[in-house]
Amino acid sequence: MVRKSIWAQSLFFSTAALLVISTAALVLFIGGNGLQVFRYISPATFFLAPTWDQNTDTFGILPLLYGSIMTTLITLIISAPLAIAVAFFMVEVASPPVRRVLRSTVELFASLPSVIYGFLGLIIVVPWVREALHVGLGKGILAASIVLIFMVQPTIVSIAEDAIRSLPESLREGALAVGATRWQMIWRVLLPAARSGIITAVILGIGRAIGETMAVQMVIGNITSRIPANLGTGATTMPAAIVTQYPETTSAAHRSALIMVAFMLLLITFALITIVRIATNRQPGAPSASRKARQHIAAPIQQQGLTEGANPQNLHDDESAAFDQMRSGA
Amino acid sequence: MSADARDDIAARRTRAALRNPTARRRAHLVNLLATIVMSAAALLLVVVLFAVIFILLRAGLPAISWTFLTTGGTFFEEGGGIAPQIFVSLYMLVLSLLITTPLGVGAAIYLAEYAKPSRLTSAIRFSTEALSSVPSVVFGVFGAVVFLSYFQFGFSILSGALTLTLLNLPLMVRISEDAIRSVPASYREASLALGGTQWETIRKAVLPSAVPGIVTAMVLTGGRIIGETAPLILTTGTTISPNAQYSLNPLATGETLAVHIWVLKIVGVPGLTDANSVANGAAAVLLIMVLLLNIGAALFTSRLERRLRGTSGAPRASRRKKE
Repeated sequence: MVRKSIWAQSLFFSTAALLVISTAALVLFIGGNGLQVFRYISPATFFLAPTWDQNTDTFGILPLLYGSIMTTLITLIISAPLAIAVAFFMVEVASPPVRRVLRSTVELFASLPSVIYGFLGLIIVVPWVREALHVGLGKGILAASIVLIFMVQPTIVSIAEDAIRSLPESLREGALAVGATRWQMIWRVLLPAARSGIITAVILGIGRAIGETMAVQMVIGNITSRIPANLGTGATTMPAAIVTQYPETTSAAHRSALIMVAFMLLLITFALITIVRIATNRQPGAPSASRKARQHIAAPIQQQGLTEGANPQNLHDDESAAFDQMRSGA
Repeated sequence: MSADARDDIAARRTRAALRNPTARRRAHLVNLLATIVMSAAALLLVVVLFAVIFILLRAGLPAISWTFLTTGGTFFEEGGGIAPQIFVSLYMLVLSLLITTPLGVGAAIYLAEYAKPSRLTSAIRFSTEALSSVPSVVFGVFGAVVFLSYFQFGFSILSGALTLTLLNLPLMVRISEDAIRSVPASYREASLALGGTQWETIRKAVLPSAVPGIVTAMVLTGGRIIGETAPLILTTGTTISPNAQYSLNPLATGETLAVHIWVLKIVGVPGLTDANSVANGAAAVLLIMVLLLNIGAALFTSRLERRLRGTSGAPRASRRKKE
């Protein structure tokens, strides 16, 4: 029988409870203060007005939302394939020393302060966008996305790498045993098997991109009054608008509108981690992803044919051409 | 067509395809191309990282001198430094760690040693996870609403340190909990067998072995405190009172080195004629501080792992299971 000291236990419990209290306080204070905005402007204005202008006290979130969605979208389109390729390289191709170098690289990327990313974006990316790509004056959504591509790498690479590494070795052995090349194994077997982990990685990457403040604020131009005409003119995102305008708010309406934007960021974050929770909780029960992966590998072994294993969803132009050829017996 | 017949045709086609030299050559070509693309992606990351470090140092090192590191900014003449900002950064680091460490380790001890599966425990875990993914600017707004307006601390180092505490608690809890859990169960059993209470066991048997892990957590947290910007703009402000540049008053306003870089590049400091060169130097100093902290943490962790492998008789698998 373990003798317990009540006071020690309650002390530790209260520090742990502080985490719950902080989360609750975060939601209550930010939600409570943010929702005050509707005392000054109507929800229709807030959600639908295409301008955010403190001079006229019109606070429509659309320019902020547009900037956030566009930067996140452009970032992910480039960053996710890049990061997933790096993750597969680290697990399936790289030798241990190379892998160590890459892991340190990713860790260092993660540890660079965002103001450093913004600084580099300002002295390198913005002039490049202006002079080499001739897109507007340089500061804008495109510059912000280019900076973000590298900022979200650590998040996606490290989580995707974990997911790929934890796949059972039998998947690899089976694929190679039926004569698949390494790429066929990656594309047809490992990628579908690691799907839920990779989706988790990408969702957390979205969270990182949507919440990033300083690096974006420094290169996006911070124009909130309109939706930008192109990717190279001044724009803004939700976090960038908060950090730019909050310290200089003069009216209560402006302040609560900005807090409301923070509240929406909070809700988006919670939605994203809820999706991740659902995606990962389903995994251990061996439904969707892993079973499909097992079918992929079981089919060729049992039937000496890859036909049944082929999942049309995963067929992609060039890379699966080899499999297509095998199937059609060309 | 029956399923068997279909399988039969499929198998025959596949065998034919596997014998088909064109198809196999093509598969190997695609494999080669894919390997090249993946290697190029990995190489790109390494090259960009080196380029980043090289560019920052090349721009910043010429600006760094002893005067630069030991004096404050000068106005309407060149040659000013960043000493007050470095001071505020270090003060912020110490103050925030002093608050974060006991709270984080306490919560970690609870989660690792006391918590039983219950709705409350999962609420604690969910909160930790939620807090760790909330964007830092949201913490800044929270700090501005709660510490500045509600508690009336105003723009101050204390408001910033408390805000950063909330921001960093999840990281602190996660790493410390791992450290505590990886202490072999035999340590606890020995202490309990000698008649120790659970608290004595934690204090005398578990915590001393977990100290290196906790130190790693502190160093990593420190790196984040040094580099954090957005929440501090909203809570500690962007100015240092000129007549109290090295004040230890936690209620004074402050401007950390990271915030200073942003102010120099974006907001502008009236009268500071060499703002660009100061910003370059400050960015290089910040980079070096963050790199040193992270390399320190990495070396510490690897030495620790070697020591654990070397001396600990109990295999890691014997660590206490979650009840």
